[in-house]
Amino acid sequence: MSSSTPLKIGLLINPIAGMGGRVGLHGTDGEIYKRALQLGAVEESTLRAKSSLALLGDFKDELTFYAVEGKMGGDLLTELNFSYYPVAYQSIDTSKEVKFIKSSAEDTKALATQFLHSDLDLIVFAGGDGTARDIYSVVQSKIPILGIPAGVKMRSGVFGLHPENVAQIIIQMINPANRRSAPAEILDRGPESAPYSASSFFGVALTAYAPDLIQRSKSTHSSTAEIGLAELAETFANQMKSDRLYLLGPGSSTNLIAEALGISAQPSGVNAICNRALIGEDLSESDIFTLLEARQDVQLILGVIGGQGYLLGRGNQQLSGAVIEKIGWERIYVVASSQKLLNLAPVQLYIDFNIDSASGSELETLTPPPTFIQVHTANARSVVCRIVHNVPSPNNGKARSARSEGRNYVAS
Amino acid sequence: MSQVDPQLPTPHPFMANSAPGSYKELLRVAEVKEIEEVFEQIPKDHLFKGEWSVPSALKSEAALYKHLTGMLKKNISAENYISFLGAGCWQHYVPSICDEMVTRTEFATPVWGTPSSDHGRNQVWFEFSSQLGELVDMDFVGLPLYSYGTAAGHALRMASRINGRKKVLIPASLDPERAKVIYNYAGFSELEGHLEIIAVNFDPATGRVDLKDLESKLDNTVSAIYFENPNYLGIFESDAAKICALAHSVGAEAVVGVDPISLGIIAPPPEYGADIVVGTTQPLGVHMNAGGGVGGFIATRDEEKYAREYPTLQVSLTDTLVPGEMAFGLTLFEQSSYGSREHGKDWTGNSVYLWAVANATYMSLMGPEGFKEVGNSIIQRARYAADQIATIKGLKITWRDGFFKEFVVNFDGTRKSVSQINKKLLDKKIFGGKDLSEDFPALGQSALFCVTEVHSVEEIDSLVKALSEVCA
Amino acid sequence: MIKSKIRKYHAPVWDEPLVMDLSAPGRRGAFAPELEEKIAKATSEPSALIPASLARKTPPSLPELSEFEVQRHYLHLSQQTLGMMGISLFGTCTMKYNPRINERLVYQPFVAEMHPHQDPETMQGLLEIVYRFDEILRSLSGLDKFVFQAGGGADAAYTMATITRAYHASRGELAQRNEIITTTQAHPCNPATAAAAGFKIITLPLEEDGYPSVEALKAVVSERTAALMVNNPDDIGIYNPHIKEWVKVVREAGGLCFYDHANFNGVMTRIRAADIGFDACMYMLHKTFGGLKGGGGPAVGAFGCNEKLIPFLPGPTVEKNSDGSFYLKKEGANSVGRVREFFGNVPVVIRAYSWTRAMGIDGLRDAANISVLANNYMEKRLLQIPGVTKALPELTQRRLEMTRYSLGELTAETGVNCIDVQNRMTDYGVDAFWLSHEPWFIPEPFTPEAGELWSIEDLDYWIDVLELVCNEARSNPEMVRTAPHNQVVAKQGSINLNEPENWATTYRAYKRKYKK
Repeated sequence: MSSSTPLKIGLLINPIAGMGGRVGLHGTDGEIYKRALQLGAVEESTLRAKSSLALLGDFKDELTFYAVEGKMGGDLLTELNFSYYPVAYQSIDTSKEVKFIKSSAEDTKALATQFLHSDLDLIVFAGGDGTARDIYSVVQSKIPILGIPAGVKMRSGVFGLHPENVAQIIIQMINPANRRSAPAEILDRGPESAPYSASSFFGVALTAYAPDLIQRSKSTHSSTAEIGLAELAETFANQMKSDRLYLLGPGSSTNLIAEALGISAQPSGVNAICNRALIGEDLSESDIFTLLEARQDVQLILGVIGGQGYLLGRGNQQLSGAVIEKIGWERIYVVASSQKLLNLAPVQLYIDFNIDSASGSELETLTPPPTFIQVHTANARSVVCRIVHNVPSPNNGKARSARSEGRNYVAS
Repeated sequence: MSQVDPQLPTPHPFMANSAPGSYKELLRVAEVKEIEEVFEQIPKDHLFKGEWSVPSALKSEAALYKHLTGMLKKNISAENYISFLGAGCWQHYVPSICDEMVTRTEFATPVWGTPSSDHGRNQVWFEFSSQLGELVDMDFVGLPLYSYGTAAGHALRMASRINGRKKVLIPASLDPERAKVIYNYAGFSELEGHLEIIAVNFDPATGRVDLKDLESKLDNTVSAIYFENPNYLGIFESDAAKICALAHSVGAEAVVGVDPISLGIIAPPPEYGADIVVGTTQPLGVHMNAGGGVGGFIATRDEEKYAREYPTLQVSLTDTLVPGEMAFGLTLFEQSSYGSREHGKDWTGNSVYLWAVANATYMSLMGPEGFKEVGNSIIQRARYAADQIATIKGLKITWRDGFFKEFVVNFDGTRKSVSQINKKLLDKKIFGGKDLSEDFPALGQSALFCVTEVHSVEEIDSLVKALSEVCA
Repeated sequence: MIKSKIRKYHAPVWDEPLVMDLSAPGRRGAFAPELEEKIAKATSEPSALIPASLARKTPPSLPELSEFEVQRHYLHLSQQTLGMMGISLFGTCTMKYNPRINERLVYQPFVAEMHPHQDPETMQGLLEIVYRFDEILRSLSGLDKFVFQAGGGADAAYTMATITRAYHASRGELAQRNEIITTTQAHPCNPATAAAAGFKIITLPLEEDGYPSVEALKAVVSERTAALMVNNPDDIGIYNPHIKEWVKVVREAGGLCFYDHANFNGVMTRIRAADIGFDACMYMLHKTFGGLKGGGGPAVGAFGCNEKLIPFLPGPTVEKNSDGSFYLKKEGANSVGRVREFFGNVPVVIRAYSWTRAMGIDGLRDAANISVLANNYMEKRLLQIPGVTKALPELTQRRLEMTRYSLGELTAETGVNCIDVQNRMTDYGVDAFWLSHEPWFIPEPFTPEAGELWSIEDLDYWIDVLELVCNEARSNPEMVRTAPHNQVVAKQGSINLNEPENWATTYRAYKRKYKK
């Protein structure tokens, strides 16, 4: 397989993206990063980028990479035996230990500016919404951008469903006939410290055209279906059992329960409620374990990352495989707006525990999730969703692969 | 018979592509050799292999006409005989232009369209809601519902969604047809959303809601009081303002059913305190159609509290890209079951939208004077008929005063059943009133007679004459 | 490639004002019969007959027009309605010829001026037609009894929900059996009516084969299952081949099974609901059986069921005496009562009977064959248009009478979406195509249904117009986005009609909000 015009890709890894997830922080900008390191966060984004780019080994001749030396891309390409055109940008700190720097945003924007002059077909980046927004602020819709999901939250419409999907999309784009782009919303949370539910719209970027492999941007408008969800939250709150520990996963759906109790909690974190009171806010993985040690009767309420279909592994990495094992799948209660849920294609939920991370070795011993899970969308209304996950089990990935292989670009 | 290719359809006037050339071209382009190929998704064991008991085709319209009229001519209609039947489906005069409009192919056959492509039909719908709004004095009106009873059922469920209460009071004088619909809509106590229905007695002396009984059943768990004006037994609820005030005193909604053809002379319900108005649309230019002419509506004040609970679709006047131009778009579609499936406000579907064309035409033709005239004509004719019947020995008009177009005739003095009397009236080419004896045993052998503007003095007199003969 | 000669169409534009704005004081359009002197003399003035508390003080401000003005106004509005005047391939609605003979018949007094409470002796012709049509539907479905009270397909789904309630209540199991299972591909009326009847709704989304798996169904069927409500094929054109197993699983668990036969046209004379194992089904007489649509009724959702459910049917039902005459049978103690007053939209039943007799059993088979074949014909041509893709393309078996398509690629390329294309097609005399019911999981969907009515030339014209509009989307996207340009009025403006200060469903609300 060879092509007369190689696909020119600018690669950008935000080495600190996603570090906050497991330690209960929201993103890793500025000061938060320092806390993340103190709390023992690992560099997720490089691991994610690796699991994507490693699948491109057979296509080295068809791909031309542009990157900057060091942690923002060059090191990984070298490690994977890809050659690349170094981008003339030297002010970034490329030392082995990231010392840091004023903010990752400035480095991202500086590199994106260099990419603008490189006549690229595509910018591939590893990061989250913040990284997407920083790149978009420079390239606008001049170059399509494609994200390897590696942040805490990925609500913008430029991310592959999984790192592997990004590789699939790149392979498809090797054929010049398939180098097509589509508009995608860039969403990010609002001003510093504002909760994610106040997330706002920053503009329309271009991304690769691959409707089945790219997650849609997370929609935000309210509707009858969402009113139904709020009523469900109220009913749930009214029927809470005394002395039971309720863990609310992140998100606006689960936060409706806190709201129904009159509790103001950080909606982007894991919160603990017992006897209608907040007993723990914005918990880290180890905080959760501490709470679980002390109690028998536990229920975990999860939302679904709207437009994306993630149940676990996105935006709630503190709810690790080990935490779920401790709680038990049968004690998970899932809530979501039916409007968002039914507009997923296909309507299935993803679990993406990161196998490469520190606790990954334990995952193979975990109980597999059920094949189907009931998602409660309002009082007396539910949708039954297949679970697609990366925990070894007989059904692993069946539905996903069938759908994504069949639905390819239309040959021109 | 000529040779028929079993692979090919037989040419038929309703199917252009049944012509051999067209059919073969479809096969060719679709790359189909054998028609069963296009049914490849259906497993073989799902296919029916037996004999059909469906008759073969009557492709000639002449033959079909003969076949159908052969049966239909056995019918005896309210034009063949004189009919005094009402009870939820009434004989009023249908102006020719109403029939012209509902038989226009443009109105009769389409399904939906866009605000610009089906602008004319959408405008008719807006004019339906607008004119009905004038009659009932409400400024938010939905597109029609299946019937009076379904409109009442939906309205009571709206009221319950508004105030969260689960109990409704309805009059015991309610039409059993409508009551059965309302009970059906109220659900079962084993399930969610059930409304407890409590019937309020009517005063045997007046035929109106018994206010004492109403007060004794009313408390702050009541979601709505439903009553009709005129009620099923023909009587005006002259205490309407008191009933509405009682509803409001406990925070309940006052839901009132009306016959809109009375509203040229009768006060619109909001004037006496109604919150939600429902009613029938059939008297407004639609034939009885053996009950297939019925339709209903819901109207309220233009307040979010009500608007956001409508189960129906509705059109709103709006703008277009051209300054100053008007169009009609859907409003609050998202809350309908089309927009939100099981999360919608109740449910909707195909309704009786074609009848809205007849209704709009009717209201435009009548105008304020026409409605006043027809109301007066009806109330006086009905009164005349009742007064004349009252002179017959053994017959009694149960409530002599305060009725619109229907009144109850009691036959106990004749020692004959309504059923016997109606049989004999039939021999005299008269459809007697609706027999109430089974549904309202307390009223004895009684029938509900309906007299409208279509009944001439001669026809009424012939009824009186016939009644005096059969009751003798 | 465009084959047809594209017509130079323009909608009639009368610039017709609102009827309220045509009013002139004192004009009259209709009079009520003048009161005969005999009545006038014998009766008090009307004001004396109306309770004082209820007299209308202000006349309704209805328009005042002459009879001709009313006629011309509504004729103008009828002409400003495209509907079936051009080509309408509105998916799931099975656009058919509505034979004119039926209008000639049903507006005659022997249908129009019949009263539902008449003595059955005087309704024999009418009852006979209803009964005979019941017999025809019994044969087509294998079920045992049909009723016509439901005023549309949604009302028939509601009938099922209420029969489900009555059935389980009669067995004392209703409190326990409170769940109804449906799929995302079932029409919204199924979950909506079941929810309205008080049931919990469990929805199964479709999976990789184009329908939910048996596994998913089994995961939710239990002793709480009251009923299953599904359609097959769905409106993507996909037939669930495991439907017999579905029905078996639900029935073994004690639930009832309802077949929403909205998409019957392609499978009529091949599939019978009873053979698949369903307890009940619904046919839309205003769609599949040639009754007219009226822009949304009066319609009939013919509801049929097996012996087991007959006691729960709404009444009255039309039955045959041993002497061959017909009567109306009152409902029994377990009946759901009424879903609507009286025994149905009788003129629609007559139209459906008439259409079915004109077609005959062979005509029904030909209609099914032609409609599925024509859909496959359209698919071949439509998929050649750049920008048009098929929903779930990995499912390569031939679709039945409908195929859902996507204009997602066209939108990605040009910014022109399916609603823009729908609007622009009306500029060529093609009525709005159907998009998709909720949920919209196929981007920029559209769903034409060829049916058996439309000629190959009509289908070609429709396809050619779509192709032309796709070309226009590339050459002049702004023009397509602002379409229509040849219609009665321009594209709906930007007013948000879901805001209380903007919506106006009546003239009086409009005056208050916009004519301050």
